Amino acid sequence: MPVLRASGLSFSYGERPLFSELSFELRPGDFMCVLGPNGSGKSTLLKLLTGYIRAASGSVRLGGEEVSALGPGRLARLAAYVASESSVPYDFSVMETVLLGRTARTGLWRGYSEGDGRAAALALRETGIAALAARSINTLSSGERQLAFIAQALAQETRLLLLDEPTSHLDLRFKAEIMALLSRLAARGLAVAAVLHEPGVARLGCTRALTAGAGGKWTFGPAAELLRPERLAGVYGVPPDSPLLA
Amino acid sequence: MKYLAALCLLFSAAAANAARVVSLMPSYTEIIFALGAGKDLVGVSNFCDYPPEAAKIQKTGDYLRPNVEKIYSLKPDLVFAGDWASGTTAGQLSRLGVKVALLPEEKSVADIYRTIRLIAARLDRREEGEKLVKKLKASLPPPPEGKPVRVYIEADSGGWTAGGDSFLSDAVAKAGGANVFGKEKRGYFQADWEDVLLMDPQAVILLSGTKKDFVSRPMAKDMAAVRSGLIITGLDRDAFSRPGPRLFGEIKKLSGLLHAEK
Amino acid sequence: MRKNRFWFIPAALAAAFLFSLAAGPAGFSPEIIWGLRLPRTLAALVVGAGLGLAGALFQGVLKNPLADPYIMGTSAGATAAAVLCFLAGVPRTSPLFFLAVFTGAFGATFLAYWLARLTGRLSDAALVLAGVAVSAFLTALVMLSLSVARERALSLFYFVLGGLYAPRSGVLAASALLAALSGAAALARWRALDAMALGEESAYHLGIDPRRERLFFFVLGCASTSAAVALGGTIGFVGLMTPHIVRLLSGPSSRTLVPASALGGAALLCAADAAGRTLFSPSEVPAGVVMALAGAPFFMWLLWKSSRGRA
Repeated sequence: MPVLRASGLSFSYGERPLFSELSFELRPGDFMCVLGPNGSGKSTLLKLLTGYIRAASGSVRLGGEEVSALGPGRLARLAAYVASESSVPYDFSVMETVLLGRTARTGLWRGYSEGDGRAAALALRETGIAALAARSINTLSSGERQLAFIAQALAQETRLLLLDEPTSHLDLRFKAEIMALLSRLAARGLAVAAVLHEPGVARLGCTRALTAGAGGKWTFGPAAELLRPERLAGVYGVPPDSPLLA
Repeated sequence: MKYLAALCLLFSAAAANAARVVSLMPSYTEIIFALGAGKDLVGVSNFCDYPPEAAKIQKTGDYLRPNVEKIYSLKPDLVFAGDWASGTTAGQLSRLGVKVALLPEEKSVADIYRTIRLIAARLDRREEGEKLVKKLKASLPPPPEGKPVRVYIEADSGGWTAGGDSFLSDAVAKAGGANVFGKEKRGYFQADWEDVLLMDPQAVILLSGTKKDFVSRPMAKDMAAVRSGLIITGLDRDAFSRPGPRLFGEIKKLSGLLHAEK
Repeated sequence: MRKNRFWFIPAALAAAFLFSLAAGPAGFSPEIIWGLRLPRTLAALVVGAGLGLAGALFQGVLKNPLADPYIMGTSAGATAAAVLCFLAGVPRTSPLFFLAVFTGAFGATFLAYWLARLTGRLSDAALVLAGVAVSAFLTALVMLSLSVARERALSLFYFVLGGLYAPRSGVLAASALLAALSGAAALARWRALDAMALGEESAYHLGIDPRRERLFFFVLGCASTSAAVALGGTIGFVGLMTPHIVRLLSGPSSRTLVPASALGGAALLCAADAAGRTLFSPSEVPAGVVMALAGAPFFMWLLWKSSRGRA
């Protein structure tokens, strides 16, 4: 059964259709990039998938359950979401931040169980930031911070991981590190979807791609095919020989 | 030893017919001194500055929210407080076992006699009280002849004035004036400058501010009081605005000023 | 690395409590301590706890370090409702009085929130501006009542000014109960409050319904503010300062922040009131004035910090 199935999804901002009749599905092990110019609706798509924004028509099913029929508590056990940039005004420690990923799996009043602690520790190890556990989230570099929020998402123990521009504002080493991490996660059975900006980064491990087109017509297919420069030229409106598409 | 000393104190106090008294109003303090009981005062409000001896007495905070604990620590036999200002305080003091005499607000000159008699009764000085009342009554100027002078009283800048429900209004009447806002059944309020102009007072009593500032207010120069120059700034602000013995001297002074030209 | 210095908070509370009981010109006679200082100290504790708690809840649920019942107009709403109750002759111990005060607090808070939302993104500063607008309007209403209702203007004036001059035991008990219930209810959902402190979008994706939690914590914040205002009038900055101090001592997690802010607010206001009583004795500086003297510079510092931190 697919982890995620979107079918006939339509949504528009005012008069402008962002998505018309969008359909695709992700299975365990899929690592999909979402590519498109600014304002094409990449970030909106992730929020449609988690039900944070409701689609005008069409359906999103997570593991067989219809998103529009689920409350946030159930949704957070099916899909985890990492926002593009989240400032936190308070100095939560990395451990506290990651443990908050357990919110949907534990009561709102009691302390964290041993199981919660194990899940958080595992997420910290998997993202390679176990050594930072006691640090304040606000003292981390942007890359470490991104890893901490991915760890929070992993602590949710969902089968689907959605990320909004996880590599923006990061240096090349962290871009590579994050993409390698996401590939590993896909390899161990998660379905991963990430909004990305650069095709070069997307080629670091993505197996599927979803690219924007005119009038809310998106294309879904194998990354190897859709990430070819001549295909991307149409998506971004740049010449096919532009070095940016390499 | 301590008890013995306290006992001695008690006897000597009883012998001298003295009590420990706290006054929370400047006017009460002045009345108590006028009754010859000033030495009984062990505490007065921060505003009690007359007679000069009052300055040496322990202060108990302002009269609206006095320091209850300070009053208690003075171990008074009796506290005089105004019922309009100190209701809450009186309740607290009573609960602590302190006797409080709550006196009603003075809304006329006659009410001042009432306050004097009440205080005198509580201090066991009825005779002195009657004597004081008689003396004050006698000190009032004779009832003026003819039409009273229309007077505007400005107690504080911003047009704070006295209505008919105030001893100030009555004091002006005793001096042969008529408060232009005497028909207002209120104590103190802020009068609109336009209303003041409309009333066209023949005399103005300024308790704060200068004659020059008053005259330079918009359209002030057409006012009868300004044309005749009867802007009175010579009254003692404290003496005139406290319902105590010194008010009567001010009434006499005011009467002289209002009727100087006639 | 953060050290946990939670113990500092109950220690400060105990110190403030003892200072408040001991400070005064009448020495240590039992009747003064029982009859005068204890009721006043208890009132300071309850008002401070209610405000500290409300500050922690608002700052968390709105993810806004500048949120506070005074700045957002919650206190002004509660005060306006209380003044209307005085004018209508509703006794301060009646449940109707508390209900009205709560309604005023809640209405003002939601109005400020709604105004801030109108600006599009709910920024920290937008909420402060909206709160200023709502407060100004409600304060004008209170002033209007003061000038119209001459007979009772004096007691109303002192209520509006804020202070703990002579607490009534009935109001004290009701306020203490209301503040305690609000605190307990908030603590029962501490994790939701933490999730909200990461932002509404993050909270949703962690499994929290942001709209429901916002309403829930607004109700609790307004209830504990109402408890404080009913007893002590308008006192500012306790709700703003306390959570910031507490976070430095024992961290930002609501599980400790909620109880610690209540205890810390109690300690802060109790100390402020005792200081106000002793500094210029026999004259008294109302606790609200002491808090504003300390709190306004603190607020400026926060503004400066937040403008640098997120520019």
